[in-house]
Amino acid sequence: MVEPTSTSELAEVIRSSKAVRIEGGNTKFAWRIPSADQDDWTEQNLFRDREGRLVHAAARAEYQAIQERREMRSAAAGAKPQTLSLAGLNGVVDYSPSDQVVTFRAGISLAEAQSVLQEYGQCLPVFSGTDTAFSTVGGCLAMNLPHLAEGRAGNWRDWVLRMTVVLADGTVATCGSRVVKNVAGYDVHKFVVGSRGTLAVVADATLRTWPSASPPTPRDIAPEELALCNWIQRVPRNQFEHALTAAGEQLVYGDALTCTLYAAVQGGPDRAPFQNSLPRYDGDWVLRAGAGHYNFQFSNSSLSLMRRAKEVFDPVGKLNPGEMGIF
Amino acid sequence: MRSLAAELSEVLTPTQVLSGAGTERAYDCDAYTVDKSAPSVVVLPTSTEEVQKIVRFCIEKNIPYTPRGAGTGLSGGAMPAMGGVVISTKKLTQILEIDIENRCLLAQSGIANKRISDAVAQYGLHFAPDPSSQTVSTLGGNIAENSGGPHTLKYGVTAQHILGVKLVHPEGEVLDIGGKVPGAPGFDFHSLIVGGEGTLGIVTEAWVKLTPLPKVVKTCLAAFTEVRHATEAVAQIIAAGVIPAALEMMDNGILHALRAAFGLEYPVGSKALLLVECDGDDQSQVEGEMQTVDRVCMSNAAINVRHAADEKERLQLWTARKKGIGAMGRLAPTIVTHDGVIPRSKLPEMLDFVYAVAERHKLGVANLFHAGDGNLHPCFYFDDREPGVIDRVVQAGEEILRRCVELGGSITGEHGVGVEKLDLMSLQFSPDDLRLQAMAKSIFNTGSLCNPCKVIPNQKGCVEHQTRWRGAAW
Repeated sequence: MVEPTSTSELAEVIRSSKAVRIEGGNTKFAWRIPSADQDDWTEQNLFRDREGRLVHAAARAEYQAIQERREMRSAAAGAKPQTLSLAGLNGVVDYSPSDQVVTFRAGISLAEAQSVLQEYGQCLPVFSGTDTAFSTVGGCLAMNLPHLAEGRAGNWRDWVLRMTVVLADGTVATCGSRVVKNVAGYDVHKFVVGSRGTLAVVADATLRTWPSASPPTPRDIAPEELALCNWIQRVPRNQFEHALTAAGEQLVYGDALTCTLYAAVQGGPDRAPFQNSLPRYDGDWVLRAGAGHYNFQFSNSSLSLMRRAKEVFDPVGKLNPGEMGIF
Repeated sequence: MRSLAAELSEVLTPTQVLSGAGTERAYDCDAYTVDKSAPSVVVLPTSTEEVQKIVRFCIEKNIPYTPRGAGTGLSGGAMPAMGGVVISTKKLTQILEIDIENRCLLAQSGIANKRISDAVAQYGLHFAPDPSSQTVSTLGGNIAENSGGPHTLKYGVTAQHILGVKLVHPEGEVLDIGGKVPGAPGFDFHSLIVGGEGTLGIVTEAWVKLTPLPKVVKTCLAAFTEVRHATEAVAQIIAAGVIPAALEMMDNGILHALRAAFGLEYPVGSKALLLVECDGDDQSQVEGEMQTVDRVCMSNAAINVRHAADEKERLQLWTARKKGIGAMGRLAPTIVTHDGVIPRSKLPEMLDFVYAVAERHKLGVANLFHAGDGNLHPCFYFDDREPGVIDRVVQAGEEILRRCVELGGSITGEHGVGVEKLDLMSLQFSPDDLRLQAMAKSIFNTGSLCNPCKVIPNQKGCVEHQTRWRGAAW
């Protein structure tokens, strides 16, 4: 594992590596697609059911099958990804409370980021469970997972104003601006959000902050409950009530503003969570945890454009190989 | 050899093809009238399939093409920089589906922004982006420019309100991107297409998000004797945790114009006005926010804060903002308005700088802008028959935009880069930064046919003037 402590070190690591697997605090492990070199598919990274029992046996078998396929592929390509931790890229670059704009390095933990902002009565309006001590701002930007304050406060893509990224060839580039309104050029900084580290690596990001010391928090859920969730599904508004009812006891939380279900889907016959599903609806989408390459799927219409984007940004497949499941 | 117009008349129908001297003059620029370039032909498709046919025709014949909505753009995005075909969305104005249950609407891209809100007002919904041009500017144009407006402070710009688009790709394919349910996993191509200034393909249809109209709207107009008092109040309102729906500022130049044009009167000694609107569904919360606004204004030496008692009075208070630019016509024959952004805490020093620049160049200046976003629109007014004045206007504009970048801001907050600010991109971005942007463009557009010579400077084959009369002119 390498852990650069500056943007220039990060650029050098990426420039000189054949392939990297990027990590922040590793808290969203189960939501990712496992990569070829990973041998730490261990219990703590796996899904727990509502009673807190580990559900891992079948997931492990699934993972091993993927690993074998990947190893064959990466051996052919001659590239075994090196783990690149961003945890050393820590700290605050700048913060202007009166403008409600802050720049964090990618590796800063969410908890530390929040405490910096809370001193000035501000925060990032994210309500994301129990792992804030470890989960990083860079990881949150890369994954852009739905969260419970989204209906009122938006998501990471709405908050990001500017970003410094390292491209696959080691170039350091910036896009956006440190102000809340800007239309100079293409919004590449927003495009990178949610791309799971497959287009470019975030070194630092400027975000707009929320003008209160605590995020808008739903009253009827505890962070520990949210940690059980292994299924996030967003459905059309007119299907939401039906989806809630159908989820029954597996439902952890239903967010009516965004029509999103957070659920703990029970395992199938082999107790593997990916063997079971909640009802699906026309136009909906699902993110899963602990279900290996079933963690998410794309609509066919976006596949060719996604492959094209990958070819432009990372033609040799250096950044997070396998992460998107399609390249 | 047959003319281009004759060939395109066979691709579409003869009534959908315009050409000739009148057409060339009418379509050689948008509302950025400084740079002009005439098209050979203008086409008026009525469907995605027709747009696709035209694009494929242009690819086959190697002819540049440029999409155009209502032509209200302020940076030359719809100017056919390399001539060729202008693809007008004037006849793409249908609403295709209204889905009230799911709070979304599918429309063709040539529909006027306001028509969308009008169509769903009866359901208590609206399309939130509200550029000043909303009665004419089109959905497609709003998408291309990622348009803002007075209410973006709270509701966000166009990007946050587009769920999906149908795009005719520069290679002639039709792509459906996104849909009714936002936020799906995968790359977010909306981030590039919205605000892509029509360089990444032609949007022919879009699913837009419909937002419930707020139940409570409170508006006030605060008058100050010093501009600095008003700008300091802006930063403090936001710092107090209030996010107004709109927070607009007008300075003495605008008040002067409003008096001259419409006989509007404001409290004696007023040199700056702040228009503040707070809205929401909870009466007591909105009232609480308004009390905070009132308190902040008074503590910054406001001489008067007038609260609208009813809808009629609310519209009256908005008059100053809505009619300000039009009234400027009374001050001088020519007006050039700029668009730059700074962190809002820098507003007081930036406005001082704007006044100093105007004075140094012996130009009149008035300011009317989205103060809450730090989005400045300094308007210079002058008589363009005066020898040398245009050089001074260009110089002054450039100094202001340079200062915006120095203060950590942007060369454009809502008008776009287009052709107007191509040579200023290097002020804000390094060569590597611009290469990153060029990479993003090349996901969609690797050729030089689809809306050439926009956004990214120094494109092959493009002629760029080094000194432009920057700013949209009236």
